[in-house]
Amino acid sequence: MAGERARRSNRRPPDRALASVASYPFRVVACLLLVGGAGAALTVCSVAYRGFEARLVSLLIGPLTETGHSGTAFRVVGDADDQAIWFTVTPECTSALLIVPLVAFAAWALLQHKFAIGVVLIALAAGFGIVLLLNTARMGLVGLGWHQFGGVSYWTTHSLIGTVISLCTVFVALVIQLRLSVWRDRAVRRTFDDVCEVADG
Amino acid sequence: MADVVFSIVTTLIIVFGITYMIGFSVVGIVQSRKQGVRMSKQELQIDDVVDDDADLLGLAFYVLIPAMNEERVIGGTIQAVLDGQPGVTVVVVDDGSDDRTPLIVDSFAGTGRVLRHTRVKPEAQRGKGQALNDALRMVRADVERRRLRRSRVIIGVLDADGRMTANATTAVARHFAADRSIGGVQLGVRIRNHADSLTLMFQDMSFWGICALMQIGRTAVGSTAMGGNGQFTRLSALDEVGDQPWSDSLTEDLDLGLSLSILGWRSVGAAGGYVTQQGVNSFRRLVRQHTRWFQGHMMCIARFPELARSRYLPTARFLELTSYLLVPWVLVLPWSIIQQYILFQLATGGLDVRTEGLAAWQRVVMWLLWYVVSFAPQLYWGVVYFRRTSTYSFGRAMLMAHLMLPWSYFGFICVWRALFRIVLHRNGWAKTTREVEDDIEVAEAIEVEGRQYAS
Repeated sequence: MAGERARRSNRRPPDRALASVASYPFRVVACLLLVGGAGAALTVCSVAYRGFEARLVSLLIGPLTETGHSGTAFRVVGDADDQAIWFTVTPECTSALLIVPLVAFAAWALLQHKFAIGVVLIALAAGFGIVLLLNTARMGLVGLGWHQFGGVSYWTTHSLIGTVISLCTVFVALVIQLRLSVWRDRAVRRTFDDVCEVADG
Repeated sequence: MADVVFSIVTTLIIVFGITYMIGFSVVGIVQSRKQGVRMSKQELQIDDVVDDDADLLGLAFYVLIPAMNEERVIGGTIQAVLDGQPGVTVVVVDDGSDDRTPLIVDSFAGTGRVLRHTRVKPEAQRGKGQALNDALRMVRADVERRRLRRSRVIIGVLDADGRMTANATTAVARHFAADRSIGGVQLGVRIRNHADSLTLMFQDMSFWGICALMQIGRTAVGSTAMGGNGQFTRLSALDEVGDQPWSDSLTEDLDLGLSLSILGWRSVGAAGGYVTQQGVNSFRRLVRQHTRWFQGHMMCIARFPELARSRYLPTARFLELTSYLLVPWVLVLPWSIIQQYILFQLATGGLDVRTEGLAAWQRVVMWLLWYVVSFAPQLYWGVVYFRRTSTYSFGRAMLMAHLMLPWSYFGFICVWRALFRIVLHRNGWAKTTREVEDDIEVAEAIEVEGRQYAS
């Protein structure tokens, strides 16, 4: 008896069920657009996106050093020898690669009725912002390291610190995205007082 | 193109695994402190002195112990519950035993706290779930007879070889009494004979290390997994699940936890106590046991639509439960292939740590970084286990952690066996044989009780 009552009340009312079914095509379209957009950023629009990133790095380190950008590369001038060097944002360095896990989660969440579409997209945007910011900072660090210390700093800033920053970037961004995605809960809250009253007679 | 796809898939798996496991284990440290217990050296913080006046906060506890031919261990288990958990009623479910199990159980009848529920064939020996459901009928009748409030009756499940820490039920009672939405509480699990062999140490490392932390961590979203040993549920919650809340699933405990969550009940981990159980010292039996666990776990994915449709299931809990159900499918199975590919690439020079042009000290640092990144999960596991146990030195814990890499092949064997069994629809299992432990001779028990029992 108690079980049947609980299971009956757990079913969605007809209007909510209908709304869920009606909204599903929108969710599928949103999911496809998201995956498609991410795929484009990684492939067809890769050069344009990396050029955008190079511009961001240049903007970030501009106050600290003479810099510039061209195509997918940004320029840094060494402090000691005034030699300019161009760093290219390669497909392995782009933040587009780092947001693949975030996009994968968002695409899945869009297909689940438990997640509000708007919340999922906002959470993804927040995660993407963090990835973009931290990855830009990582590349800026490489440039500033070269500016200050010359070629000897490249291995430390790029291979050593850069790897750690990349790993932490994905972890932090994903955690924040997940946390924001569950922020607006659509579940019906049970008080359980009614359960206890019925159970205890 | 294949390399790119492989890299992306590998990255997704690594990110999922690290985020899920490290994320919830860190939350576990925080949650345990909220319960007043530090996860570090937890066993030393739990008082082993029995409080005879333990306050169960107005809750009535029944502990169900399914037993089929458990003469080797059942006596010690019953005695341990009677001694260590004041006020608890023990219900032994004799599931068609043909050894001395019934006699041993009956020798405790004089205590007034031990009941034996007997099942005979053909109903007997058809799975733990059915045995528990049968016993629950008896408990429900007893609850009616005693006119107890069903929301204040707690049903525990203990394996025939299980031993709870002193006053574990008090620690459990605090959770049920404090929050009406809690339908299930799970104690941490430790392998009792873990020092006897390497195989047993690995089992303890699995249970007592990161898994224990994650279980407490899942308290934050109310989705702690119910286990077969040290599981406690509210009777009114079981009533809502149905007349037979434990299913025929190979992991009826996990299945019950899902049922509770679907109805909106919270399940939490209790840090103030834990249960110990025998490890399995035979590799062959261990493979069978873990294959069964993997198979049950993997088959529970079939309940995902129920989770998705539940109105009462909060989003965070839904997300966590989904991740948990996906672990064998998305993490263990794929990684069993990827790991071999990576090792093959390493062996054939396909994956190389680039050190040309670097100074000697830079090469050392580069290799150190590669080692830390590659072995990060094992290193983390080793540190966690060392911090949580008082038995092993740091060096031994770290050695064990590194040996987890070859030990992972044990998991791979089990998960693939489980997959094949699912595909071939082989769902039947024989229970795991026990090790000899606290053997109470029936003759002794009869003499101590001062009564004559037929043997």
